[in-house]
Amino acid sequence: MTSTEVNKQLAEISKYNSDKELPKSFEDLILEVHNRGICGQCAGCVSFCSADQIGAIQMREDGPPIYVNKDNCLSCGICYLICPQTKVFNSELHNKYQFKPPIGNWRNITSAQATDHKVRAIATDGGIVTALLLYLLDNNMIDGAIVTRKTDPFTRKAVLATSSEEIIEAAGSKFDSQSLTEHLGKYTTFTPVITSLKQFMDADRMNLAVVGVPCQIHSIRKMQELKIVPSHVVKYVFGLFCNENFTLSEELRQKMEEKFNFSFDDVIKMNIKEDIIFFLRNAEPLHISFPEIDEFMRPACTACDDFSNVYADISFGGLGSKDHFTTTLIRTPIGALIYNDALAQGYIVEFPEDNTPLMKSKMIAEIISYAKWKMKRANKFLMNLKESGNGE
Amino acid sequence: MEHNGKEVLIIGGGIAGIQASLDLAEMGAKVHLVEKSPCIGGRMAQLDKTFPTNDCAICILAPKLADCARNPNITLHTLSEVTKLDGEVGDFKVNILKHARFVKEDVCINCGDCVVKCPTKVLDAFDMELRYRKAIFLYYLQGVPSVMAIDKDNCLYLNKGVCQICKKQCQKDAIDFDQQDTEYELNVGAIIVASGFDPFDPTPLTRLGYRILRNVVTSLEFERMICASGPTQGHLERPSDKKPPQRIAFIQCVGSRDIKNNPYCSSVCCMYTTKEAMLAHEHDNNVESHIFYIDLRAAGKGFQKYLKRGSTEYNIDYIKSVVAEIEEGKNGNPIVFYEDMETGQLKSMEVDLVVLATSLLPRKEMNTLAEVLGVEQDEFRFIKTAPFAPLETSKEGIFVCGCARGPMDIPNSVAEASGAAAKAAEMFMRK
Repeated sequence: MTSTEVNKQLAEISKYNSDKELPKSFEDLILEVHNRGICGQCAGCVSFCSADQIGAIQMREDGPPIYVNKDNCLSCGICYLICPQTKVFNSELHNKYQFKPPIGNWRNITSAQATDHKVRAIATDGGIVTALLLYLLDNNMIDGAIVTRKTDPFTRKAVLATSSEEIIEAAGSKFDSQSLTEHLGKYTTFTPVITSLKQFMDADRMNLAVVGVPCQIHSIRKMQELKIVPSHVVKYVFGLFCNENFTLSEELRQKMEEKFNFSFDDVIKMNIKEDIIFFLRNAEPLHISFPEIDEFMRPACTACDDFSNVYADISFGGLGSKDHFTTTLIRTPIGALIYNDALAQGYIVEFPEDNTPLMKSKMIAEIISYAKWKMKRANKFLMNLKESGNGE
Repeated sequence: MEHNGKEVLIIGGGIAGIQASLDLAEMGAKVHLVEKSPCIGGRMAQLDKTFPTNDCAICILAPKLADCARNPNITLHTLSEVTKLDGEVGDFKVNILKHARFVKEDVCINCGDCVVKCPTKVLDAFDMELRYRKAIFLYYLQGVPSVMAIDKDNCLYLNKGVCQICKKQCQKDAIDFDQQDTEYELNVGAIIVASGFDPFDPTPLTRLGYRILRNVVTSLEFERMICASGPTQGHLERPSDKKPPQRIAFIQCVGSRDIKNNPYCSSVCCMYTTKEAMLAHEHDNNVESHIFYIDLRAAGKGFQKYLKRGSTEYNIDYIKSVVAEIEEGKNGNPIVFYEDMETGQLKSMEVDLVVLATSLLPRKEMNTLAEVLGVEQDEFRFIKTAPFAPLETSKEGIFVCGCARGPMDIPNSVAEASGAAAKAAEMFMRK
């Protein structure tokens, strides 16, 4: 090799290193996100990588995504941009969705329920998410919705529901079920919703609704901002309030049973409102406060500062509403449009006594207090990370 | 080199500009064809069929596109615009601004590998935003030059510094992110303006419900919807539920013959609407079309016969009427409220789909172009011409043809293009 060739190669290498600022690749995600324990497993990076048929990375049962075929990686850097934890162009998103701390932009808050008692019986809280999905489907405004459905007692899987039956089935839980399953998934057990999106890469003419937790919605919104596949088919974004998710391995389940002195075999239903409630067979409901259950949550959730799902079209949760009602935080113009139309068409109903100005401000106050608590927890976690030298 | 009188600049690569280019090239002139889009073809390339023969538009246009690309006397300047003009007839100095394509025109073989992997999806303007395209794209299937272009407003690399997937995919090494916009000067003897038209945007006419009601579309959108290379592969589906419409209302004079918008008649709408109604009927014999018109104008050769065929063979119902308002009824069905001018009665009709026959306007860049060239415009912003010198602008050596001069159909545009080419050729045939 001549000296000119060597110099040329050296120049190439140094150019690569100095260009390291951008793009950053999946390797940087491993360093900056996975190794710091803050990957939320939202699957945004994987959904893009597979939708674009690059196929370098994939999700696994538990833990952050991994390289499945490193040679396929084009070092395009898009996964790094999508990741909700990298914080790149959060300011663009904040501007677009007019983010105001702590709960983001919103135009209306209601406490409402599905009019269809069948939906109400089967769904969490007031069944508003399910009712709105049925409204969208009946009015041909969507071809389907990506929702989560139980596949076995401890797993929920993201599925595309394209009929009313499938949507109701996904919402549903069988109350006589022996185990903790249904509502855990609905509100807490984490499901990689976004990977289901990948099959729509070329189904451009599809219109979909997606129901997800804040980290999932965050990465979908990032993808939409970047205008990349497969986010272009997502027309309606429904966000769930989220404290944290739990990874319930066999070991943790046992630990939980010991700590709170109950058996999962006796759980007939679970819900999350001000605290976590296990409805037990032949016993009073068991209430567990969030601090008590901290040790069971997915570590990444401690790094998340979004409780109320700030980038959704509409956010939903039980918090602030009485039983069998959903607190509905309407954020975007499109969210308002569909909510009001569903109300006019009779899919959902509001009762005046639950929606007085006083009741509304109470609901908002509750959401704000949870959102602040979650932000505080995230700050504390990130401070600790920095102090322990794992930070940037 | 001999005097520049033999070089001609043609502005606009639609059917008029193409025809003028081919004529002049045939006469031995050196033609510079300037087109703002990545490919020549213009509005005609967006049409499914042409009236009054219902010939396939692209089948007639494509050979002409290829001829332009192959003819050694024609130089295509795509993604380009005219920014400055000096000099006079016989010796014009024209400044051309050629925008970066970021794809090497002489290297790209249009294989499409880059398009498959490009992660960015944006609404496709050529298909009237009825489908998505990638950030690296072929402007349209039969586009010439048949090479890719990168949309710099949406490319992730050019905006966010990441990706470059197309570059990594391209086996020909045709992607060049270092390309810059370039400016250069051409020396020409004559200029022909063939910049064409923009369709009227009916959004401000809220009573007609465009962009408010789901099943109200414009005629150019309908043209793409029914075209085999369009977003639905030619399956006529209405937007709200993708069902095939059985009953279609066509509303005439949208933005034409309307003192609040454009008082002039766009001259082609009665005919293209009849064509569109015929096409809908050919796709599905159960389709019935109702054309709400003020006056039926069929002043061209064979046009009256065409209308007659419409009503006798294609189930078209022509209703002399004034449409007041369109509302949405059940199942997203638009309801047309109108006054029947035969009887003076107020009536309404529920249909599956409404098509608005939008008028023809000068291109939105027309004022800038006219200013650069120093030619006069008429009261509607079209290029001004005298009644007995219809192809001559106010400046000697600059000619105009097609819809840059006023609304007209394809046969007229082609005739004018040949006329303008002959006028430009006078410049050098004399010598």
